[in-house]
Formats: sequence, structure tokens, C-alpha cells
Amino acid sequence: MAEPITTITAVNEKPLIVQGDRTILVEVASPQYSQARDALVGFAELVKSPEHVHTYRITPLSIWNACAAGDSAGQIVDALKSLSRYPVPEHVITEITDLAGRFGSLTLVRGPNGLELHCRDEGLAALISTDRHTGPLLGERLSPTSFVLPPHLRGQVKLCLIRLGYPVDDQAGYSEGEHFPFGLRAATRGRGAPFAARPYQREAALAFHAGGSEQGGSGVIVLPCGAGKTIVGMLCMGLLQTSTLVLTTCVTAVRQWIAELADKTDIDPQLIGEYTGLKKEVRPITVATYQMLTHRESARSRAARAEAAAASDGVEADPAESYPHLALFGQRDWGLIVYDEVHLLPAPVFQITASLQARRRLGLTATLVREDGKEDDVFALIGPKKYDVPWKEMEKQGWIAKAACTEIRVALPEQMRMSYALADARTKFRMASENPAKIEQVQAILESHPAEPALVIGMYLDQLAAVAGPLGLPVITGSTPQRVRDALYADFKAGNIRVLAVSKVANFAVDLPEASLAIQVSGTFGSRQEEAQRLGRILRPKELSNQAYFYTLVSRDTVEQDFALKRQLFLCEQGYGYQIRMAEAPAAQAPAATRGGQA
Amino acid sequence: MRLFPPDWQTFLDELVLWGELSISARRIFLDGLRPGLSLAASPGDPAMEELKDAGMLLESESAGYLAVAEEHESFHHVMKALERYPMFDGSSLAALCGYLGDHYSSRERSLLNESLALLPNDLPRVAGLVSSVEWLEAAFPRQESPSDASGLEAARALLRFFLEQRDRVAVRDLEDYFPRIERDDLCAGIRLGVQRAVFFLGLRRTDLEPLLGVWPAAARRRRRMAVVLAPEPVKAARTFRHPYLVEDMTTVLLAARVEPIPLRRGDEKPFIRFVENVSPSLLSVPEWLESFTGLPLEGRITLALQALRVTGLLVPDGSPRNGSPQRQGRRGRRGPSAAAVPRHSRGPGAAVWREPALVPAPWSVAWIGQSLAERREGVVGMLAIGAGGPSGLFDLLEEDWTSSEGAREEILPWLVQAFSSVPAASFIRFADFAEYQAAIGSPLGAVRPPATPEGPAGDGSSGGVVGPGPTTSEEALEELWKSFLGIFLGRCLLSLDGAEAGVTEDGAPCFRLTHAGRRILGLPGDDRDGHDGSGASIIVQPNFEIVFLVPSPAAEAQLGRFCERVGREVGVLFRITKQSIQRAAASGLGDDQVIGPLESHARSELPPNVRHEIKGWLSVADLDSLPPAP
Repeated sequence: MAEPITTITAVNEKPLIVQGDRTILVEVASPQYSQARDALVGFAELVKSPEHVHTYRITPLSIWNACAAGDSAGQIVDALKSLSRYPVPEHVITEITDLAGRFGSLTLVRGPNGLELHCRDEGLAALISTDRHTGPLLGERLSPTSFVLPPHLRGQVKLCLIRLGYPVDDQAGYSEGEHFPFGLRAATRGRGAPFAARPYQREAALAFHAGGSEQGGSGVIVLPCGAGKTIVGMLCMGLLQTSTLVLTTCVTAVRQWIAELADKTDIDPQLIGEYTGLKKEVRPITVATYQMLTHRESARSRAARAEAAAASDGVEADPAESYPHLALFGQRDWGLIVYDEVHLLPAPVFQITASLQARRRLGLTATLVREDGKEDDVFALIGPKKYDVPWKEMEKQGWIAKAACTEIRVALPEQMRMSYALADARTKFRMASENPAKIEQVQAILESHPAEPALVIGMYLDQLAAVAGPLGLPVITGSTPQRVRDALYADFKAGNIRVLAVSKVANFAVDLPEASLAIQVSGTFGSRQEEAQRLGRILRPKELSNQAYFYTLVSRDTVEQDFALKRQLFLCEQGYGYQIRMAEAPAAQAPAATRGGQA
Repeated sequence: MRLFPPDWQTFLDELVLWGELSISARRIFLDGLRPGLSLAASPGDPAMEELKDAGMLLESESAGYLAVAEEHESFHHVMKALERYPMFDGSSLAALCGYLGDHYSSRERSLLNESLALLPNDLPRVAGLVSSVEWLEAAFPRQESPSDASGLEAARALLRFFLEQRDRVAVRDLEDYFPRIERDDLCAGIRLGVQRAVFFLGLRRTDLEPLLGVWPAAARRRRRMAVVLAPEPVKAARTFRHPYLVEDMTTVLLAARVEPIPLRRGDEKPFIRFVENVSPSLLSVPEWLESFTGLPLEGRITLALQALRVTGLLVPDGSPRNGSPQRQGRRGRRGPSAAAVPRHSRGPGAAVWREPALVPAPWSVAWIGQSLAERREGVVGMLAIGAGGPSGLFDLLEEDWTSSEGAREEILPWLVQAFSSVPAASFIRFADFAEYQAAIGSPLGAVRPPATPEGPAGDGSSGGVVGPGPTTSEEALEELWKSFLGIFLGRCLLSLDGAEAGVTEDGAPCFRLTHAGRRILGLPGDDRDGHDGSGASIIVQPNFEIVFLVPSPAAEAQLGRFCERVGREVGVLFRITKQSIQRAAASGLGDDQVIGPLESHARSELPPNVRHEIKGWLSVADLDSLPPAP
């Protein structure tokens, strides 16, 4: 029997579909895809890029960023219309026009009274002065449309006004900071290998610098793990020629930065300082950890200090003084502050960053996704996203390794099923994560990739010990002394150790370029950020096939499988395909002597 | 004709006198005087003096009173009769019914037309007949008696005049309009026309001048028909064609397989909660189509429920499951009422009434398993015109006035005639189609409303009618007919792939009938314009999102049954989740009904992780539940 006809009106093959929620779908297979992508990058943010259709979103920040770069609402709308397969929803056009219209309505300049905030009209001035968040922060009223702005509140006011829906065109400029000239080497100091920045690294740095104008100097660069964000940071520093404070996640990362700076620039290593728990060096180039800055004095000290402050002048103690190392920000006339892994910026650093608006600020990250949803705060206080390249694009161009992602579902042993079913949610997750049947799978995977330097990554220390023990793998956890970590990393890089078992200390900022195989035995619930960072450990480009392998072991039909789906989604949205396999029945145990972490 | 002038010549002479009276005098003559009664004289009243001077009023036997002069009594009776019913200004079928009841005897009415021979007292039927364009066009076909001879030509001339120039004229001006017709012939023509209920008499309200003419609405329609041409083909800028009712029925039925559908006790409609739960699963129709059919998602669900009940796919919970499909009527009347379902006893002898609910009939499983074409064919087979008695399509309508068998018999041929006149291959604007059909005529004047068993007795009352009835004006009936055509089109044709909807460049709704539509209307036709509607219209992404690059109602209807709705029409419309797949599994969908549609509509291969997860979720192996006891 003939099926009824379903007829659809004729459609063209243009690549865009603009949806009513301001998201834009782009069909990768369309012949106009490249043109569409180039157009969208200017006024929309890339949200996700799974295999066939990428999603961008128009946000107030993306529109204001486009306006700051000189685009008008009309140009943006024309671009959408010319590439869109269907009519652009009218309300989206209206919103774009409205948002673009707000850019330039507030201007921050440096005038005879210091920082001056000028409003386009009296109505807007009245609106912001009566807003309960912004109003109290404004200084003296200069005219019906302008106010003085206290310098230390510059960032906070900008943040409040963005939340109110009005961006500030900050033309007040930056403090140039202490001049510090240096250059990049043509060959590395260590091995003498030729060194040159890659094209996208230069583009990213130039996008940030913006020729030294007010348009540049603050923003975030998003590049996949392994793409060389450190190099981008150095390029930005080189363009600005100023003293720089670099903030990063851990001591290992601090030392990696220092090593890279020493290796690829002509900076005297004596002028590069480490500011960590172990050292307190403040030099023209200083690299510190976030933890150091957010280290809090003891409760007793805080109480004593508060008492003293109250007794002396009746004024409450400044909360920021609870963080004694935050003073590092004021110890030198920094011209640039680099926030490595900016998506991990802790709240206290956010606060102090709000007062550093006179300094140039660079954020570096692979994933702007924050589990606390404060991406907008990052943009508002550090700056808008200046450069972004989809992971798959980088992979296509060979700048990062190709990654084959596989999830292996491992059955929970029969004897555990009853206790699992009776357990509470948190215990279920742990039981599933620590499924002993995973150990055999780790073994099988390592055997199937006998030549690949590998990382076995897990969340639970007991589990890591259980995995590493039979295989004789060295383990790095949070409690491993730094010198031991450094030695193991060095052995791994040298090829003396083929497999390392690591806890979440190695989630980020650990440079092990040789690693091409990662086996994730457990993860932090549904953290997409963690998934991305772990994958990032193996994405440095490899010689020969430039191929990396990422395995995730998940206990089948358990809550771990549900959480694993969320993590998997993130990678899918970056364009990675995910294979799913069921673990085979347990094989016979091989003699332990033939297994181990030795190459 | 009881009150009409026995002698038109005399009447015309009287009208000369009447023409010389002032309006006030006329008013007194008509309003102030009752036949056989006197009026108190008002000395010095100019209007009364006028009447006295004209000889129309005389001193009565009672001093101080005036009465109609004897030679003018007949004229007075006629004028009073004419005043009773407004035939030309603000005319209505109720007035026409009263007019026919008063002025024509039962025998006279029965002789008007052979269809009235046995029903002369069915005044709405008579009124509907004599107010139609066809009645006018068929008037005066031949001489029926020798006495007609002289009046026939005059009557024809009068009719031509009324149809082509003006639908009424003052009676006393007739001789001026027809100077070539002898007065005798003119009077004979008037008498003939009035006798045959082609011409009507009435009073002009402004000056109480007697008028002669044809039924105004019929004349208007006739003139419009001469102007209103059959609709021209147009080009549709956008079209839509899909048996969305069948898809909606399937979706609602699947929901019923998960849990019975509770109904409100008062009107046996679904609760809003059910509507909100099911709405996301329904396919999208373009906004212009939704606006045209007047069927938002809630309306579609109600329509689907109706269709499911009518076709017996859904039955009241607790009703005997006879296992065979049969039409149930609008509210499943062949089975027990959905409200009459006792709860299962909680104790011996205890029965508690619970909310009525609908459950799938056993044979619905087989129906769901069929292809879309087969399902549609099954539904059409039960509802189409000719499918055993008056069409079950009426059961899909919510028009109470079409619920009676008689009304359906009246309306059906008009419906078939209206839609069968639509050219098969071309789109026509609906507004043009409806206007043309309204101009041709409608059966609504003859449809007796079910609320009034006998219709009006002559006083124009109708006793509370919902829908068309003798109290409804012609214009309102026309609009009602146009509206009905639209409702029928949306609910019974478009929804079953019997028509293809479109919209022109300037936004006007248009449509064309399909071969399937001809079948629905009981006309010869076949489904040769049907073919497999599946096409590669979606992309299934590895992150479980489903992107529609083009609108695809077929894909949307199928995917809506096992995916979570995210958007409508184009873009990211669905997301596959564990919950949505497991819900689908609970409703009886398996691999074939989930992975099959995904593969058939997808432009590229299903991502392996998506395929793997779907199969896993469908197999429902969840360790969070206790393992079976050994």
C-alpha cells in the first residue's frame, strides 16, 4: 500500500539554521560551511561541534564583542540572512539590533577627574544610578550623564553593568606596567631545535593584543589541550614587553611554565620567579599557583586581626587580608596578568581581579565550561573570548593528535550485585567506579597497545593502588612528594616508564607530550571538564600516525554508566566519536611477572 | 393566500391614495388602528385630519371615535399583515417562516413544490426552499394553468428586473417601471409571483410604503454568482501534506498503552495534564496551517481522542472488549458510557465510581504495528462517506447541529458537491472557494436544529437553537456555511491526507484535493499519488541530539514517540534520552520502531554510541532494581 505523501516545500542548501533561542546550527557538509564559520566567529560563540552540525550561540557578550571589533547590527543580520536556510526569526533580529544598540551607550574614559563613566542619555544615567547594585558604586555626579568612577571599583562596576544589560566601552586604557623587553628564540635553549610559533598561535596572540589598542589587552583564548597555550601566553608577553604575573593550577604547572619560558625566550632565568609553597620569588616574570593566592590564614589569626582592626579605628578588617598572598598582585607594577586554566579561577581571585582592571589580563583555557556556570563572570572580569578553534579543526590540521575514544562497559561481578542494589546513591557510584573487573580490562588494553606510552587515570586512590599493584605501575597522587612526581614525569618523558597511574592531580597542566594512550578507570561524577582535561593529556601531536587512544571503563547498567554519558556528551560535542564496547568475559590471569610499567 | 389582496387592481388604486398621505398619517393608520376597532379622535391632529380628508377614517358609531372606512378595510387588513414581517429590511428566515405560515395555507404551501407535498408545515424547509437561488432560477418555467397565461410574461419580466436591477420596488411604482405591461397583466404577474412564493410583499420601515420583491439574500447571491466566478488556480508558496490525525491518533494511543487516559467527568474531555504530557510528542504543523485549521496542539489531541473513540481504537475502561473494530459514534455510544464505570470493589458489595478513562482496544496493537498508509486506510475506511451509513467524518466535528442523522443527510451532498468541484491538480484559495460555495447556496436554511422538534409555529420563535436555525439571518448562515467548509476541510480532509494545504505568496490559505480526498468523499479515486514519504531529512548527532535540516512531519511524528522534544519545525527538535527510550519501551515500542525510523530518516549512519545506548536502554537491564529472588 502506498504511503501517504509527505511533501516539504523546496529548501535551499544554505548552511545555517537560526533558531528562536538565538542558537545557530551550521551544517558542516554544506559547501558554504567555511564561509559561515568565518562569519559566525565574529559575532557568535561556538557552543558545541559534534560531527555533522555545529552549534553557535548569539549572546549579549558576543554581540558586544563584535561591536567592539567594528561590526554593526546591520552587518550581523545581513550575514545571517545571506547564509540562513530559513527566514531569521524576527525577534532574533530585534534582539541583535537592541543589543548592538547598547554598545557604546556607556563609555569609560580617563578625564580630569580620573575615571569617568559617560552615559548616552539621562535616562540611562538615571537607570544605572538607581540600580541597587551599581548605584552605590558610582562616585560623584559630574553631569546629568556622567559620573566619577573610583579606580578600584572599575571591574566591579563593569560587572554590575553587564549584568544589568549594558556593556561598558572601556577606553580608559591600561597601566603599561614595568617595561620588560625580551624576545622569543629561533631555537630552543635546551636542545637547540628550531622553534617557531604556529600560525594559529600567532593569530591568537594578535587577536588578544589588537595592535596594542584599547580594543585588545583583555580577553580569553580558548584552544584545545595540547595546542600550546603556553606558547600563546609567551607570544602575548612578547608583544607587550612588560612584567608579567602568570597564575596557574599547581606547582608542576608552575615549573613547566618556567621551563618553557627559559627554553624558548631569551629571558635570563634569574628573572623568572617561582611563587609557590616552596619558594616566594617575585621577579619581573613571576609564576604562581592559585592555591598560593587563596591560601587563608588560620581562624585564630583572622580573629586576632579583626579584633586589632576594630580596636584601632573601629573599621572592620578587610576580608582580603585573610588572603595574605593576594598582596602579590600589588608587589610589582605588572603590565600583564596571565590566568592559565582560567576556567578554574577561584572566587577570591575573581574578587581581586575585579580591582585589576587597569592591568592587561589574559585567560587561557581549553574548556570554558565551568561546572558552577560562571563563564560570564570570566568574560566580564578577564575579558571576552578573543580566539577559539574547534578541536576537530586543530586535529584536521594536524596540530593535535587524532583521538579514538572508546567506552568499555564492564559487568559488575555477580557477588556485588545485591550489595550494589541495596546501597545508597553515593556508595553505588563508588562501588561501580571501583569495580574490580576493570583491572583485567586495563591489562587487556595495555596489551593491545604495547608500544603506546600510557596514563591510567582514576579518582579513587584505593582503586589506583589495586590497578597499579598487579601491573607494577608507579602511582602519582596528591600526596606524592613533588620531587618524586618530577622524577617520575621525567622518566616517563624519557621513555624509561611506559605506563603511569595518576590521580586527578594530572587532570590538567601536566605536560606529558609523549602520552598517547589514556585509560580512565573512574571519574568525578559527570564532570565534562574533567573528561576534556584528561583527554587533553594525550592530544599533543605525535610523530608517525599522530594517533591517540582514550579509553573509559564504566560498570555496565549502573549509575556510573549514567554519569559517563554526561562526560561522553562533552567530547561528542567537540566532535569526537565514541565507540562503545562490552567487555568480554574475564580471561585467564597471565603471570604477573610479564606485566609492569616498564617499557 | 389569506390576507393578500384579492384584487390587485384595487390595491394599486388604494396605493395612489396612500402615496398622498404623510408618514404620520400612515403611522396612525397602521399603528393606531386595529381592524374592527375604533380610534379615539384627537381633534386638530393633522394626521387624523389627513386621514379623514382622504376618506380613510370616518366617525364611528361611538362618538369621539374614528374607524376605518368600510371601503378601505380590506386595504387596512393587508397593510397590517404586511407590517408584521420584515421581508426586506433586516429579513430573516424566522420572518420568512412566519410570513409563509400566515399568508399561505397548508395546501398552498404543499403545491409550491413536490418536495413539500407531504411536509407543507415544515416551515423551515419551505423557507429554505423559497429563499434559495435555485428557486428563483427555476421560477416560472411553464404555464401551469390557463389563468397564468397573461401573468406569466409579466412575472418573468418582474423577476428579471428584481434579479438584475433591484430586488424590491414600491408597489405603486411598478407601473412606472413597466410602462409597456398592461395593468391587468402586471397585476396577474404579481399575483402569480406571490402565489408561487417567488415574490414577497413587505413594508418599507421608513415610510411604510408597500414593497414587492424577491428574497433579498437570494437575489444578492444570484448577483454575486454572476460576479463570483469559480475559484482560479493559484500557486502555493509553501505547502504541507501529511495525515497528521493518524499520527496524532498513534501517539495518543501509545500514551494510552502506558496508562489509561483519564477524562473529565463533565464533558469527557482529557485533563490538561494529559494534554501537556502528550503535546511535545506531536508533530509540528506550520503556524499558518494551525491558524487556518484552528487546531492548536490541544485541539489536535482532542480530535485524535475523538477519532480513536469513533473508530473503536480507544474504549472506556471497563467496557467489554469485543476485539473487533467498529465505529462507536462521537462519544463511543455503542459501548458503555465512559462515565459509567465502577471502580473495582474494595470490599464485598462495595462499588466506587472513579474518573472515566479510556484504554486501548485489544486490536489497537495490530493497528499500531501497521505502516502509516495502512493505518490511514483503516481510519478512512471506517469514516469515509459511504462507509455504512452517514459519514463518520461528522463524528470528528464538534458542531452540535450536525449531530442528527437528518442534518447529515442534508449536508452531505452539499459537502461532496462543494469539494468535488475543486480541481484535482491545482491549488485554490480557500476564501475564494468558500465565497463561491456560499454564493451557490447552502443546506443550512433547511437544516432543522435538533433542539426544536417542530420548528417555529409562526411567531418566529425557535426555542433555543445552537447553530443554524430559522432565527439565523441569511448572512449569518452564509458565514456559518463557509466556516463549516473550513472546519470540514481541516478536520476531515487535511488531517487525513485528503487535501494538501498551502499558503500563497501573500499569505492566503489555499488547498487542493488529493486522490485520497476523493476517496474520503466517496468519489471515484485511488491512492496513486501516494508514495513512501520517508526521506533523509535528519541528522542524528553523537551527542544524542536530532537535527532537522528540513521540516519532516513524518519523521517528527515518529521520533516524537521516543525522543524528548526540544524544538519545532527545523533545527534541533529532539534529544534521545534514557528516560524517553524507556518510556517508549513501556508503551510497547521496540528496536524496529525506534532505530528503524532513525535510520530511515537520517542522512548518514547512526553514530555507533547512539545505536548502542538505545539498544541498551530498550533492553531495560537496570541493576538499580533488586535482582530476582533465587
